[in-house]
Amino acid sequence: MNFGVLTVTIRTNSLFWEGKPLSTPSSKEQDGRVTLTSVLDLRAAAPLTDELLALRGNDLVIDASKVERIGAPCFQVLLSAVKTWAVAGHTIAIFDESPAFSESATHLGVCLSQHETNENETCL
Amino acid sequence: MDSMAEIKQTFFQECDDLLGELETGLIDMEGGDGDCETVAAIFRAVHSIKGGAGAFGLDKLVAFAHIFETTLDEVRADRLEATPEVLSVLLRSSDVLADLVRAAQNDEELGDDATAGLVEELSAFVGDKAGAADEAPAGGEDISFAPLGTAIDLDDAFGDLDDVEENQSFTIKFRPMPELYANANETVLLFRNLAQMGDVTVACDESQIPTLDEIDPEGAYLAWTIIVHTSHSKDELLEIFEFVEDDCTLEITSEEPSDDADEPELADDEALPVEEESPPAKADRAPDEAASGDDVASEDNVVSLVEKKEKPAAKEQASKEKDTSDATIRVNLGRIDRLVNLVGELVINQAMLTQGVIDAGLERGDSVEAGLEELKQLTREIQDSVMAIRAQPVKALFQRMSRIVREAARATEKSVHLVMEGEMTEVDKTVVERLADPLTHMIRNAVDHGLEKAETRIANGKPAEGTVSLTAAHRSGRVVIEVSDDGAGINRERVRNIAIEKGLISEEDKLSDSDIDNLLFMPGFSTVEKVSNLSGRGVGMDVVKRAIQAVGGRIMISSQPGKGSTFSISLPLTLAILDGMVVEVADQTLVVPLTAIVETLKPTPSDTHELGAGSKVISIRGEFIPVIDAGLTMGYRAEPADPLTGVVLSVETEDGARAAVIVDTIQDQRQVVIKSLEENYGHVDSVAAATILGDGRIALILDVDAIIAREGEALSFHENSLAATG
Repeated sequence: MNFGVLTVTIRTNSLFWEGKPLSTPSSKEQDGRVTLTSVLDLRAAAPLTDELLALRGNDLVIDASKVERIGAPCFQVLLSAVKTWAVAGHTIAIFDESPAFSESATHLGVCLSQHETNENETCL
Repeated sequence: MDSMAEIKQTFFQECDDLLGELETGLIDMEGGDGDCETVAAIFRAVHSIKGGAGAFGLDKLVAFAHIFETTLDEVRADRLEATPEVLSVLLRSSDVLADLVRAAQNDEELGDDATAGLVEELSAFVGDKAGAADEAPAGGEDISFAPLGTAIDLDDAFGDLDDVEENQSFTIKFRPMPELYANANETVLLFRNLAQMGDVTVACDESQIPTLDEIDPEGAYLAWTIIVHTSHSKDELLEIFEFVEDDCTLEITSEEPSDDADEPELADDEALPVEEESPPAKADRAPDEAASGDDVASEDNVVSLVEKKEKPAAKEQASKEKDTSDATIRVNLGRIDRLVNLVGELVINQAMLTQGVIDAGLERGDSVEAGLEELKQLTREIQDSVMAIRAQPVKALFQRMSRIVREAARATEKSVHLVMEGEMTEVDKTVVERLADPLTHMIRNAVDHGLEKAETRIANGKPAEGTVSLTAAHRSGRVVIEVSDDGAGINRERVRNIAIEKGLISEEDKLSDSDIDNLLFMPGFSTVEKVSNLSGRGVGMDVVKRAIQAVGGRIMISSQPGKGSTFSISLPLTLAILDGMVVEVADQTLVVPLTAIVETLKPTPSDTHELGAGSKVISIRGEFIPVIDAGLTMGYRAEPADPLTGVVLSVETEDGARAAVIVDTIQDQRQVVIKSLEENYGHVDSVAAATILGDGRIALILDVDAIIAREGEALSFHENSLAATG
């Protein structure tokens, strides 16, 4: 069964968050919100790339709470997104990461903070 | 055997394997296939030999292994480039190491001159470190060159670890290729396994990550530098990467003990954030987290994860067993032979049971018949499985040949490249053992006589380096081993002249190309005018042929002028079962080995000729062949049988001569289980062995060579007839 890789919800939000989804969306500027699906293996990397590409130009919030498994290829895509967003001067952040997501990021030593635009963000 | 001797024997058995690995690795490097893994593997092999030798006080072996290992360490650390010159010395060192092991095994002393020259050459490569060789402790490890289980003083930073002295730091540089992911491998799982081995610090190099519009989602952009503090060996770390080693670049180096061992320097200047906020997963923590994360995965994924999660446990088990990681056990050959024997009994018993059921006249479809059919099936499977136990890959044998090529090439000052294929082809152990001598001779011949000198090759538009290939393959139930060279091919004119000179053929004889080629197998035939000390050791190709035939094999030559020659050996898969022709002679049943039979025929009156004193010859396609009456020879009857009423089996003896054996009728052609008469009764002339037929009767297996030897007169006649015919 395939429920699709991503669920994308567009919300209006220009604020930072602190590990939790924002409860009061702002209406000033449109930004995106993406909920990562549970299994982010090699097969999920291409659809994830496409979904993220479609959201360029806006700040982006990525919800990692549903992730049950994630591999290096999808981390590569997420890192690429962080870079892409930074180059474009937009904000991107990942929040509410699931234990599986954190553990995989820890094992891989991956840092998903947006260094240039979001220096206070901590690494996973 | 006392326990120490047993352990020592095991050590020598392991040495065989290690020497094999060493040679394979060096040959891979020579062929340009070697990577850092290969160097590490050959280093480990020499290191293990040194370690074991130290334990048994084999000082000479230890000393040589030490300087050898030191040189390999230089290569491993990229301080010494593996040039062809270096590899040549390393290969010769592996030969000498093998000699030293062999000498130690046989309690012999190998002269110092065998090693002195190489020690000097190796020392030249390693410079100052060579001195360490002289101080190599006989008792075991020295710290400077031993990566495995070496004691290293660590700072207090690791004071929380129980067994500090056993811990060591390794730096792993790991860069996956896209294939790694495409082959369903996952870096996260590898690192999770790694985290269970000890303290890990991971630095991820993200610099190669492109922006989203340029990324290949299935590409590989990340690389890692991981520092592991562990009590496990490098081998065990390597095992984690075992299944991905072809799909990544991997380098594992052990850190030298130093003052700042607790703050190992990372290749990248990136900080290690994982250290700050969330410490690296420890062995006791990672599995729990992994489980919690994986519990709710979809069904498909659960399966794949469970499979992968089982690996760490398996790895741990494997690491405990270390040298027996390929899950093999060593079994006394006598036990296997007994099993083979019992299975032979089972085969016979089953044949007898079948006969009994037929005799009982049971109805078709009776349950006994169905049960018997199943028994047959099972018996066949057991038989195959047991034979497979005795089967061994020819790899070890082939590896010995690479040394022969090197030595032959050096002696003849030719440049030779040995290509080996099908090393994993399996043959019965006895067959493998008995092939060593003939194969050695054939390889030497190929280098010495087959390949031309470099200048001749160049003049003929061939590369200066000659190629000798050694291949093995299964072909229609037999194993075919081929030795080919890309030399000048057989000089048929010369072979023919020599044969005429030696009176083997007459000048008028019209011989086909293949007939001329087969002259090489005639006893005493030697094309070399000057006996070289390489292949001309008084052993001709006839001896090779006899040795091959002794294991039930056949040898054939094919040669193309200017392009080279190929010697093909066709061998039975096992010596326990033989393909035989079941024949009847004076109401007795005999089995004639199929390998000896060239053809069977019904002679016509014009074919047979009396030759005085009761001797007969039979003419087969113009060739006169002495007739042997099996009934007379075996003492089954007093009067000779009429060849016209019987069947003639044209057989070929080991020395290439042919004879016509007369039997009454041919019953069948089938596989028979060989039962040794020598072991169970005693040697009987003209009888090779016995077998038990389905009806329980014993049938003797004819020793074709022996009965022809007994017919001495007929044989000498045959030789004379060769010269007389034509």
